[in-house]
Amino acid sequence: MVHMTFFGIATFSVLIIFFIFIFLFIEAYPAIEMFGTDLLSSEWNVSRNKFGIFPAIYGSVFVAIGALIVAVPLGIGAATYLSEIAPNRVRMVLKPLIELLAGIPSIVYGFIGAILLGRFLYDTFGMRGVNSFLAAMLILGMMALPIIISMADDAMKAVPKDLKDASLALGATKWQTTRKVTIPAAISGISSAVIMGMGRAIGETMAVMLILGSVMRTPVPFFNVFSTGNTLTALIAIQMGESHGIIINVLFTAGIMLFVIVAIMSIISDILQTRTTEKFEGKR
Amino acid sequence: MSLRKLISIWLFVVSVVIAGMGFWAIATQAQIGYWTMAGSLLIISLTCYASGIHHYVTKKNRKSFLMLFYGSVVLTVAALSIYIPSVVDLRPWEIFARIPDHFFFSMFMVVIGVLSSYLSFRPFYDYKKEGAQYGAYYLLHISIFFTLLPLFIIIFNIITRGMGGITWEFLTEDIVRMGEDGGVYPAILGTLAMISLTAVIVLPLGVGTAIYLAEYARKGLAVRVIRTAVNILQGTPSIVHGLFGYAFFVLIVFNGQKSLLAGALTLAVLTLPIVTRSAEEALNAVPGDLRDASLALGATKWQTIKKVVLPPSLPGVLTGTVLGLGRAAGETAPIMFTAVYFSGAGTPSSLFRPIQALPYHLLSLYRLVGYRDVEGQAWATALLLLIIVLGINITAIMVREKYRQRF
Repeated sequence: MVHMTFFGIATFSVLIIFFIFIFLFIEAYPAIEMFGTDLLSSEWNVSRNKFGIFPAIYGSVFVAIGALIVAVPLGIGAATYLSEIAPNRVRMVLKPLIELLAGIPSIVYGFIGAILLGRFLYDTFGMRGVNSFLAAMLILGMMALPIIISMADDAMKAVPKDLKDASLALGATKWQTTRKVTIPAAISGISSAVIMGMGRAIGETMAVMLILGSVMRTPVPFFNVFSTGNTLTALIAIQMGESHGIIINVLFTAGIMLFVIVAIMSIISDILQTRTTEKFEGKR
Repeated sequence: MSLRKLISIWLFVVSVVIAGMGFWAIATQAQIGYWTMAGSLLIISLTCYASGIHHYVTKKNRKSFLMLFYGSVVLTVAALSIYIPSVVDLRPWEIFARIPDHFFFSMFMVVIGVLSSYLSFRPFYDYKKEGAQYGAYYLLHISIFFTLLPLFIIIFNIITRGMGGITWEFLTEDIVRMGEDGGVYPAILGTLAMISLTAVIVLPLGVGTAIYLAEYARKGLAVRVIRTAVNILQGTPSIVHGLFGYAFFVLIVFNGQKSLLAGALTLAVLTLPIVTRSAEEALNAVPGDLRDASLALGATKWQTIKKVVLPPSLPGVLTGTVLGLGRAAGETAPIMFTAVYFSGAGTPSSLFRPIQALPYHLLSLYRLVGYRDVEGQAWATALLLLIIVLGINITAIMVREKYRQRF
């Protein structure tokens, strides 16, 4: 009886996932029915009734890749430092600090990013305005760091000590052990950290919206980091308050895409992590 | 100490100083001239040559040619940089930006400074494997430094710029003239009311799920699905939660009316996975012996959970909840379509009425920057929000560290 009650409560999370998908779909359906694949075109023109969200999709991916270029080397470096060489006392101080970094609200990152970093880049590179992909990538990289660090750190900490000891006993230095034993053994955990970091970067809303400017255009040329642009998240956040009618339904379509993309990433990351635990289970 | 080590130390110190100068020049947009940059690189390059030649002469170690090669690369970079025009204009390629030469020069100083200081460990340790190790450790220290630097920059800037705006009036009054005057009193109360309500909703759900996963669940499809659902929910972007809250709670449950309750329900969905995961972790930390002992005395499973497992794990469970609420307090996207107005909502009076909240207040003020004189107020709001959110987080983390080593 008690068992079933708790099972009932636990199914709530599953139920919510279904609910999110169903209710997003109900609201998105009119737009999908009306426009079909035109939704994936790159023309967004409200007065001509064209709602192609390709620029936002491109922007989401572009900005996430840029964020990863900033965050992955720094994040894996910092995680290696924390798990392999930091003395316990330093670790006890740094881990909470990194958690605090994750705790800063995204609107504060956005505000700081737009005002300080945006103006700084504007001055340095003489751009048209303070909004740019470059600023968004830097801030998003910063925001993806904590999750990458803590997950990669966990992955490296989970590598059994026997493996490392065996390497050290063979005369390898600590660094050789880290590079040749610990990191390869933890690689699936580290990749899952990177995927979650990318998920965070794609799903980030307020910061991107303020920094990127939410202008519906694809950067030209495609790697132009000085251009303004849009992402799925910023498109939704800006337009929801200002639009009505069919645009709302289009925005829900964007929401479904976002949800599906990030859900797939979560599942992949989940599978990678389970693989790591299974790999080491017998050896612990 | 041998001359060989002295040269390495000199190379390290000079490189760090030059990298620091370059970094400083980028940050302050100082106009580094060609000769400053070239001179710095020349010093590095000559030191590399000295190190390489001296090492080869005294030790006949061919690995020291690395330094000769590297010194030549640095020298080449310095020499070729004279061809960099004073402004690289990207507009012919339709990119609206121009990169001034001093930016390149500062970048060179940073990159080459870091690289040289990294390489200086090799000759110091006689090109043995320890050199590679300490060089790598040095780079790892740099990455943790640059990870934490933004935290301090953000906190420093918000405190220095926001401090002046926090006055008695700011804390106790409502918005006046679109935020140019007045304060954020209703927004503070709104945020606090919303996260309290969220806590009430999420706590039973999250802890219940955690109890099922940690105590009852056996390996099987159902558990696998629930775990995956919790993970997906944790990764779901906050704007999607906002859309869901709007489509379900606002449109269907509350007839199109934004309200405190709709916002709290949306935030409960957002925090559910955080609470579940940390509660499960806390429950798992209770040793199995305790459960076995209780069961052996004839207690039922539920009695065991209630009397033996939950009490010691309570601090952990609560910490997780509080961390989740810290996240909820700072979120804007989930509440902007479901619960908040910028002004006019007043202090929260009913579950079914909209409220004002700090994160949304900051967003609205930012949008007015440039049109109205609100930047001071915006910084003050950011500081207040940061104090509340980080205050919640720090409290939770401290409680957790205190109770961590129980078993």
